[in-house]
Amino acid sequence: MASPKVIVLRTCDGETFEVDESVVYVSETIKNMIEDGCGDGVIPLPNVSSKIFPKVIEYCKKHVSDFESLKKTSNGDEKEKDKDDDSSKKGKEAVPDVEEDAEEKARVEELKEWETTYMDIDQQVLFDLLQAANYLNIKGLLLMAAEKAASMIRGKTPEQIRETFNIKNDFTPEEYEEVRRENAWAFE
Amino acid sequence: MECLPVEVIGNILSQLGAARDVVIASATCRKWREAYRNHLHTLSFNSNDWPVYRDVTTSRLEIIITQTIFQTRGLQCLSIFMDDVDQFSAAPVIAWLMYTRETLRRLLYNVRTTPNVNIFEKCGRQKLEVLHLAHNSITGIEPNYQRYPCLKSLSLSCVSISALDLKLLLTSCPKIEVLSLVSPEIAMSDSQATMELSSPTLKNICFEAMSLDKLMLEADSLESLCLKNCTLEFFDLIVKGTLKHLKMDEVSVLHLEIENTENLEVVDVSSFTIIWPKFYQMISRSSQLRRLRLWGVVFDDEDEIVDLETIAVCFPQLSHLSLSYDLRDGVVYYGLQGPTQLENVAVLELGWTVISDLFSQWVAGLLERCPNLIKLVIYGVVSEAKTNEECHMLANFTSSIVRLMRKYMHVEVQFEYE
Repeated sequence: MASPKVIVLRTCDGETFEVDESVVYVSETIKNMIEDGCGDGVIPLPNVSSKIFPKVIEYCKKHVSDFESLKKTSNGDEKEKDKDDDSSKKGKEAVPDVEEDAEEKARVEELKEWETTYMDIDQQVLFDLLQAANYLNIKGLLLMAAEKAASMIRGKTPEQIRETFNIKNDFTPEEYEEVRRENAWAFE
Repeated sequence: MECLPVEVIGNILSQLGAARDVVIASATCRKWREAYRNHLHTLSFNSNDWPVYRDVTTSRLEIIITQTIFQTRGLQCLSIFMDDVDQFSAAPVIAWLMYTRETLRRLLYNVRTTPNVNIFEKCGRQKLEVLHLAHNSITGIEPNYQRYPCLKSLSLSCVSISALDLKLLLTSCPKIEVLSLVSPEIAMSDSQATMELSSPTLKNICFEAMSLDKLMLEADSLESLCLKNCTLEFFDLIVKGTLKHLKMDEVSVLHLEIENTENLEVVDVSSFTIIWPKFYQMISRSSQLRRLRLWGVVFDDEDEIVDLETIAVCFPQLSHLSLSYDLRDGVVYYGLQGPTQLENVAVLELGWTVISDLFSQWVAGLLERCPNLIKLVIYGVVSEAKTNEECHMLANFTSSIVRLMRKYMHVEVQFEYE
């Protein structure tokens, strides 16, 4: 890329946004659209509102450097920390001990702090973020938002979960009976 | 929540991970049940998740795990980590592995199975990327028709395997990058034989609680090696200059050979008996060395000293220096000789096990050699029963450090006593 190209995107409610190409590349969906030749015109985002889009771009800007080097790969896995590594959370497996640079440690700390602030959002924003991250295919953001949603679910009964997320119980009484019976052990 | 697609709910449930939480969440509404059944990719049964697991009989647990897994489809990550369970029967374990064969990418399993199940053989090979296995055995590796094209990380803990099978195992994993062996039970056909391991792709190796006569390890891409609590007579490591981190803690090795150490950045050796000239020769070409830690090391020859001049000259990039060993007059006097400064050392960690006056002198001498020091950490071992003399020494030491640090007001000082 010679000079930083600016991409124009239009959200579902008609607002347009101009963002650096490197920043929007964090979204696999947009990246694919640009690579398919849509980068010169206005890219429509029918499933993303102008309300949530800036929040998404905030994430992309923060993670641009991780993706610059991964632009060539089609997978775009997060480099920084292996967030879906079960082993770092559960069990006592022996993982090779690698000395961390003081700078690396500081960077990880800073990122954690940034993430905590970034995810200090209300439920509606969280749902919008989940939807946007899913549609725009931004793995790291989806993971972070899903973890936040999971933390709101952990330890609650089904009724409490429904209340928290305003979910309608659409099981018929027979269906619900079956659900509870199938996995009786969890409801004891 | 209504507008969230079912796959996203699946993602959220996967973040929950713990089986009981997932099952409870699936009872909220139809979409969430659908997400659990068809879009869940991570499931875990961990004794820490739910205290009630301990009160359930093993056969009941086997049924619960089977039922739960069989209600899902497309599971990618399965973790069964139950410390309180003695053993599972082979039949359900095989059922879990066969059911998830096509899609499983990560498997963590630590329960003994009886009769023994060759987990390694039974789990799906095509997609497996991470395998953490404990308390099981691996036998009969056949690299010709058993290959693990995606396996990147392998961790074996308290696993019994023959030296030959371990060697063949590495051959059958063409992309393996991380290997961790903890308390392995390695069967050697001939006790005098050398265990030879070779992998062109391994980057990270950790061996813990391993005892071998002879080990020859060839790893062209190795970046990090960590040995903990190992006893080896001969250890020959062949790398191609990619080695950056070397860590040895409570390791006893008579003959250590490591070639191509020019790019070492971190050397961390603790509770180790060193033949200093030989060890030094091994690392002396590492001009990129940033961190050097010699902690609780014992020198084979009493007259050997670590001289700072050599360290300063050979490792100009050194930013972290950690030293803790027996100080004798000679060590302090001769060790501190020389004009070269440790220009880049920003953090200095010095430790004593037995407090003495020499230590303060040593600290003073080292501070003089580190003109750009930012932080000094002093580690001390304080015995429970302190004699009057010891208390006196500690007091003297404290006073001398206070006096000393007045000259270095810009340096942050920390004390850690145990």
